[in-house]
Amino acid sequence: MKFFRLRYLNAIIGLVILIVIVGAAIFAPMLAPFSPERMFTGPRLSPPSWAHLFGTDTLGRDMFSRVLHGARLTLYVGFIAVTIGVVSGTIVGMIAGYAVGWVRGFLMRCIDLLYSFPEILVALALVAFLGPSLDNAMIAVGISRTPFFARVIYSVVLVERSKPYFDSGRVVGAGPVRLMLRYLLPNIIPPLIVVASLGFSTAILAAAGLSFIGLGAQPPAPEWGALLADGRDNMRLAPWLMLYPGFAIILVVLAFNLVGDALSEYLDPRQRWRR
Amino acid sequence: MSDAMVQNSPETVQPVLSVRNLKVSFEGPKGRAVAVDNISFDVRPGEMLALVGESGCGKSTVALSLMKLLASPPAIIEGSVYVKGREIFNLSKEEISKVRGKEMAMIFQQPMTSLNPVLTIERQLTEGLMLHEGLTRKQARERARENLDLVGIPSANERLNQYPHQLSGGMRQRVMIAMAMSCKPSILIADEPTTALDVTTQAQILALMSGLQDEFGISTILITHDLGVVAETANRVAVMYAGRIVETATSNDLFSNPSHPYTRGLLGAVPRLDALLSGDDMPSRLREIPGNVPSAGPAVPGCPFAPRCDRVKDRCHTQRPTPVELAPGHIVSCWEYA
Amino acid sequence: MLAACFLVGLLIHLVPGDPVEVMVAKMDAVSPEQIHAIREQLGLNAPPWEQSANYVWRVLHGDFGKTIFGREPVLEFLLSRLPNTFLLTICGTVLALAIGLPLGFLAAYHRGSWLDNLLMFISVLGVSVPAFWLGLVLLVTFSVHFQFIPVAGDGPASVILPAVTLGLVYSAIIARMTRSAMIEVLTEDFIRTARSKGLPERLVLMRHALKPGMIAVVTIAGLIFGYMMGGQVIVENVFSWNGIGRVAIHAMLQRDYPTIQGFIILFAAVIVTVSLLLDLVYMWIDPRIIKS
Repeated sequence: MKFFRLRYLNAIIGLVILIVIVGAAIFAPMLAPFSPERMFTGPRLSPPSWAHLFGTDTLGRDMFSRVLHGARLTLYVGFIAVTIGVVSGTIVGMIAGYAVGWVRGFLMRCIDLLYSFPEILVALALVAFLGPSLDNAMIAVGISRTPFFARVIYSVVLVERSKPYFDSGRVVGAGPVRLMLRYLLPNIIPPLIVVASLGFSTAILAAAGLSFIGLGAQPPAPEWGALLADGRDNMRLAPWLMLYPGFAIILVVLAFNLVGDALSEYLDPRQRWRR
Repeated sequence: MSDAMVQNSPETVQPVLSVRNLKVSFEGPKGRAVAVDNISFDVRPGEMLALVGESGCGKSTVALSLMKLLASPPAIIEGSVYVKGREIFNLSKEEISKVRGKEMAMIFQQPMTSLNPVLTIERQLTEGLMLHEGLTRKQARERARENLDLVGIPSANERLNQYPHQLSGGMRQRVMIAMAMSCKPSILIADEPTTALDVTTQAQILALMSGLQDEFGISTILITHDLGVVAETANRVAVMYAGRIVETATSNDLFSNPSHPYTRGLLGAVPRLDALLSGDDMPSRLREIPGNVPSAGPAVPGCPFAPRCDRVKDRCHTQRPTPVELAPGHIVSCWEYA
Repeated sequence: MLAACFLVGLLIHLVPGDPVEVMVAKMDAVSPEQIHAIREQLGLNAPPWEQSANYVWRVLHGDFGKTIFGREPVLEFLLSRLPNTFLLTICGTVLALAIGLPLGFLAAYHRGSWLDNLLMFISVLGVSVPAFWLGLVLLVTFSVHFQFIPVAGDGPASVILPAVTLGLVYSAIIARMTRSAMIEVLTEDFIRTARSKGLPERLVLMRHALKPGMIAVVTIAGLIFGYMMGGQVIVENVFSWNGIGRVAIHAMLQRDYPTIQGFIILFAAVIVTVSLLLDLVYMWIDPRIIKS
């Protein structure tokens, strides 16, 4: 019994963190004492104090305000990237799973090709060619996750299409589009939710990484990865500058991981398709 | 078949294996589920006792708990088991390891997955011998080769160097038997040994098992849901229903005079060629038992078969039936006879 | 591989952005004619597909072009940095396996216990930590408090911090993967068979569970090596480690196409090689593969 409660606990911790962070993101303008971009709100590089909970950066901007506003960016980035990845992955995966012959062969070959690269590398390469910006980073991260989502969806579709209900749909004369949307899609949704929630954490980490090396969010955007890059330049003088954005990233990613784990246990006890 | 020997064996002969009040339950999210409910039975020297019942009645749980192979916790095992008069449930982990494989050995249902895919047949056959009998690797290999011959595996020498995936299902089950027999245990527990095999192989494996049993005088517990298998090979039968033993008898008695309503139901559900041929007005349809096997849950106070029984009385629901001996060795737990 | 090269080449030229513009942005007063001349010289005026085809043709002959800024041959330039990257990846992988495997085994064996729960919580936490942030924290801690470990550069001792960073981050993933792989092995029927033979628990684990578990572990190690090759691209930058990752990021920030292309192709080659090596290892440990 203890076992079950502990599992539960993890999910609750994750949910609570998520709610807090989403709340912080929504109400950031009200909660933040300063505008994230206002300079010289206090002395430069001042350590954490009551006036500046997380201290100030080189330009005297309030770190607490910046981290709070960063939550908006981070969640937004995660959401868009996951949406891009999930939508494109589902389309590719469903077509690959539904089609036969060379279409499937070609699609899966492409997916496997991309999948054999580490995702962060695919994202890096894409963003290098698209040009450094937060929007491009989101797109790149989304696309870099597509092969993973596509593979998951592909394997689920393969299982689902071998079940009797699929054949019965075919027998009553449903066309391919109808078969995919009305018969396959509803059954794909549970695993989709799980990979999407776990995908959030990967996407956020990847986007933060891109911003950190200067290929994502551009200054003065208070994206957490970019804040870390700022902090890096002053890490000896003001180590707190890189501490708080880091904690923020860990919290969000941890929350998504905990919720995703709990969801996957709840929705799919076998976890076959998980890495 | 050595029916004579068993029938002659009086109650005074010490049983090889005695099970007393074995109870196995599982702690689950919905409370405690009882899988095996207070069962007791004896296995006499050289006999083959069949434990029969539908899937889910707890017979495999009995087998695993006898060897203490059930993971515990989740499982809670109570009661006592005596091997040649020695209680084994109180033994330490190390001591029980010395009983497993040496005194009691087991054959499992799935020959495909019960052998380790990455170890050679030799490794898997010899490790027990080296452990329990202190043989050297060379001696053990020699014994393993003999054992493979014994279970009818041709070119044993090459087989020893092979891996399980290179063998057919029937061959693998033969290897399992050779493995179980390697230390000449006094008790062999065979948990549905033929279920995963095709029909011709089934017959061969059964013939092999009864042959070996006769040859070495090993007592066997055969766990099965297949009454045909029972009729062919077992001396004595214990019928299980929902975690309890409802009827025990010699095979002959059981088939000629099934007494528990459940046993009668089981036999009625088996197609009988003789009835068909003799042209009796016995219904040519197979009779089935109405209702379903109850899933393991909290223990019921009365007879577990009551909801499906066609002769159910009031007290069947409230009081647990006491065992009655109809004839020597023929014991039934049913209020019909009390 | 070939398809990958062509794809990479085509992709690069289909997207907006131009190295020449980046280049000239840093100079004063460059006339459009000069720009055109540079482009012509670099072969950037041909249509994309032609550039790609040319590129593939040249790569097949071992010519990866020259870096746009340093005018060095790309292949030699990258290959000179590759040993550093390998050193770091191998140290990181070994460290990650050394931490992650035992913890994963432990959690699997005590599945469901408080120890398992604790270990798994720590590993979820570990998976959630960005590698570059951990790198920075280590960097600050060690540069401030312990002066004896070099914090940057590429001497043999300065591999310690980046390797520890990578090792810690990936050990969390390894522990998770090992746990689920071992749980799968430990619930196999043949483990029960081994116990039924009366083997002591130690032998059951060492002989019957470890070897099939190793097959899963090799898969994991291969995956991790690949992840780490990717993950270190950023970590190299944190520690100014002179590997191909740092070069690549530098090239990306400057739109140095030939270098980026070369990097990706080299990377693909490494990954293909690693997966071939893995197949060899599988053949060595898994008897089922030898036959088929």
